[in-house]
Amino acid sequence: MVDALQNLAAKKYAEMAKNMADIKPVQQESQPAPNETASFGDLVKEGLEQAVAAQRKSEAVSAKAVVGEANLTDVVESITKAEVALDTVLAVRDRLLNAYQEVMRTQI
Amino acid sequence: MDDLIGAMSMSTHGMKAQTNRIRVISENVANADSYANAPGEEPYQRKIVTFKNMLDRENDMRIVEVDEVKKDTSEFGRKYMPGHPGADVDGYVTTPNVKTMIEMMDMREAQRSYEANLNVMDMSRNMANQTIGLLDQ
Repeated sequence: MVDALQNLAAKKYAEMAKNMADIKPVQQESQPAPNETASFGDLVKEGLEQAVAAQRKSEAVSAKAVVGEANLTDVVESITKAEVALDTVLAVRDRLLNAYQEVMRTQI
Repeated sequence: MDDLIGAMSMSTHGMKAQTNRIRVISENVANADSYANAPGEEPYQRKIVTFKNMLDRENDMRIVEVDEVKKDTSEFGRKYMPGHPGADVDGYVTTPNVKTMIEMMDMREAQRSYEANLNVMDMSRNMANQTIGLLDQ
């Protein structure tokens, strides 16, 4: 019974990881595509790195705007993009952590 | 690139083009009274912004950009002001070819276009946020 459950969970997890790999932005093309055995940690790490890169870019653009080199619209655009990226990563992380905790709470 | 993110950069380009247009219009309005200051000298010449669409190869989108800021070649006006330092022998001064009413119309147009782009951007962001929101229980 436990084995079956574990198998099912592993299968679902692999599916999820694969789906996540599919919706990744094109910027990641230079890196080798993660295979189906990519761990959750790698997934979150990769997503976070992207979000952090977007945040860094938005910060750089804001700094440029302060000096008068960047457009107001550029600032808003980069900040919005960074926000969306971070929100996505956080939502995925929360969701998967919830699933993990749910599994840990399961009475056997 | 994600299409929603692409839509956001697209509208940013539109907004940038319109801000440039607004800047040129403000220049025209501000210089509407810049007459010729000496006989034979030219007054301020009205400027026109032209747009073009360019292929953004990285994201495969056709973005809008300001092509050129050209000078309006229409004729200058003449005004009878014998006391003006720029007056010719008949007492006429050449005035800029700026018509404030036309500039106002252009300004409204630029404003509406900017607003439209802003709305597209706002909507794409909302769509992205709502989709992410599905993950929050």
